[in-house]
Amino acid sequence: MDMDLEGPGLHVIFGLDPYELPFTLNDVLTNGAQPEQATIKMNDRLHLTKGGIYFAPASVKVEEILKSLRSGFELDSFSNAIKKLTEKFGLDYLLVDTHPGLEDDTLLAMGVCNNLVVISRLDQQDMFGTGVLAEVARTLEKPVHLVLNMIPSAMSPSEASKVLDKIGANFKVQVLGWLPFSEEITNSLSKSVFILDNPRHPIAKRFNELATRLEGLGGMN
Amino acid sequence: MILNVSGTTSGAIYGFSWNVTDPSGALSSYFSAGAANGPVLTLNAVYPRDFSGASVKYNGTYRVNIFQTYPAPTVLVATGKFYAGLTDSLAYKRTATVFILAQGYASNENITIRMSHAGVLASGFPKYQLADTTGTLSYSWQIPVSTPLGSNNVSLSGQATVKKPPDSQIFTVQPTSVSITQLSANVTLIQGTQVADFTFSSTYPDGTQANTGAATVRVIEPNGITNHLVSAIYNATSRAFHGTYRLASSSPSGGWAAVIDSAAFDDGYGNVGPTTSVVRGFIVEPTASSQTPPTSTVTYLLLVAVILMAAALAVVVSWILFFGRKKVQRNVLKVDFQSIEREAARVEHRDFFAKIHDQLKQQQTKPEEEPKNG
Repeated sequence: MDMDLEGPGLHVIFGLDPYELPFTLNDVLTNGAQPEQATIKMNDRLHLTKGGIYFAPASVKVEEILKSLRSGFELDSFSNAIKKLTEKFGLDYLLVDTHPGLEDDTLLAMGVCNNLVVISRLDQQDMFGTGVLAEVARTLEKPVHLVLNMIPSAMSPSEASKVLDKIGANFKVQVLGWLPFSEEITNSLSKSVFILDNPRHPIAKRFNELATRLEGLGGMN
Repeated sequence: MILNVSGTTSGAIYGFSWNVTDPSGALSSYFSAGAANGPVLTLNAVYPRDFSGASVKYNGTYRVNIFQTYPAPTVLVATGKFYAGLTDSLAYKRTATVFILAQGYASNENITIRMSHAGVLASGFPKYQLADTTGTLSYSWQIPVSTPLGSNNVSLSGQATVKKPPDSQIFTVQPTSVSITQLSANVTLIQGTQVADFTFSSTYPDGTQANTGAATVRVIEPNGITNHLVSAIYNATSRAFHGTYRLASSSPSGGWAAVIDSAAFDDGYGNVGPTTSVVRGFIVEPTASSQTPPTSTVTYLLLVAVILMAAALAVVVSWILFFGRKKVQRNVLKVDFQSIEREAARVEHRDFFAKIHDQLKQQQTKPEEEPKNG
């Protein structure tokens, strides 16, 4: 679910024309559509033969972005939308991708999720944001799990793990792992899902390990 | 090449002489024959493989004449032509790579490569490269983003081999597209005035970043109608394009949007983008004038900040000088927990947070009725 309502971009990676779907997540949040109407099955597009992936894109239209920001959000109606999607498509997991700020939409996502996974780079600005998010999540009694992303290649794996553990301890959050900086991913320009196109790339293995740890957090039921 | 012969008699033998004249005027031939088993006979020939003494060492037009030699009399039955070029295409977009292949030079001969537009050589040319042991030259050139548009010429000349006609070919260079990525909008309070700062990167199709030109960012107020235009230019320090918009004190609070419309970016060479508009929404909070410190206080705080920054800079410079010779530079990540708590408290004081918090508590009190999702 692309919950980055202020600047949606997941559709680019999935190769989806943003005008392809008659409804988007913005319509669901403003009660203009049923959640299943704004959801598309991605298996064929991603050439996946096993399992099932559904994608709920956000609108890229200026007027709809402004409308969503104006209209406000309701926790109960969003919870119901997620419940409906889970039942309709028999979901095991629902991943809500938000933008990094703590705005109303991100607070809403925090409110409905069982677990919060924070993807953070190793820089001052991201660390500050992670700290704030961890504090706010604690008040909402939501567990936070940290993933460090784009770890510079100059840092050894053991050093990166130590840094990750230290940050986790300081912010009192569980650590899930870290991902190295990959120039190849940067050069891929978000044209597609990198690890599906490059399943033998070392970073694909890292993503698989991370996915296994995410599975350990539990599913929808 | 394919020759279709119609009106043939089943079981009859037909013979053809294929004659190809290359751009230098040299003629090479190939004879083929076949027995018809119906009203149409189809014969194939591959140039230069099937033709004695043939080659594609000249670029230009190759003319084909096919004579029926059997049954007599000999008569011209078909003509045609094909083109052999030095490049793998006749038109390219900037940043694309031109692959050049030429034959007919001496083994390991030094070849001069010239790339030009209107008689003016492209930067870095002429270049020199040796042909391989079979006398073939392979060369590739990635077209720079500033290459003149229109007809460009590639010409090759050998140190010893003189070709007539010489290896020379025109190809067309077209503008390339630029994609806009990572458009961000941050609103900060500077001396009592809210300033929206827009940042984005421009990327060519080969993945390199644009660092010239400008884009017009359209800033849209919450009513969705009122527009303000902001020019964004490249900042070499942050390696990104920046533009700022100072919000007036009367500017409405709420959800604003920054838009880079289709083709609103031009790198200064005529390469434009994006192909579809890029949008980033951002929130403008109401300004609390009572919280704005008086100017003298601001000046004082600014002075303190400058002194602190100067001190910090001195420490950093000393650090670099001291540890600069070491192979690994140590960076220190500092986290201000007090600032984090203050910012978290600010978020938690918002009405919407209180609403979410209350609803969550209500859900927790009746878990059987409304199971948690997410």
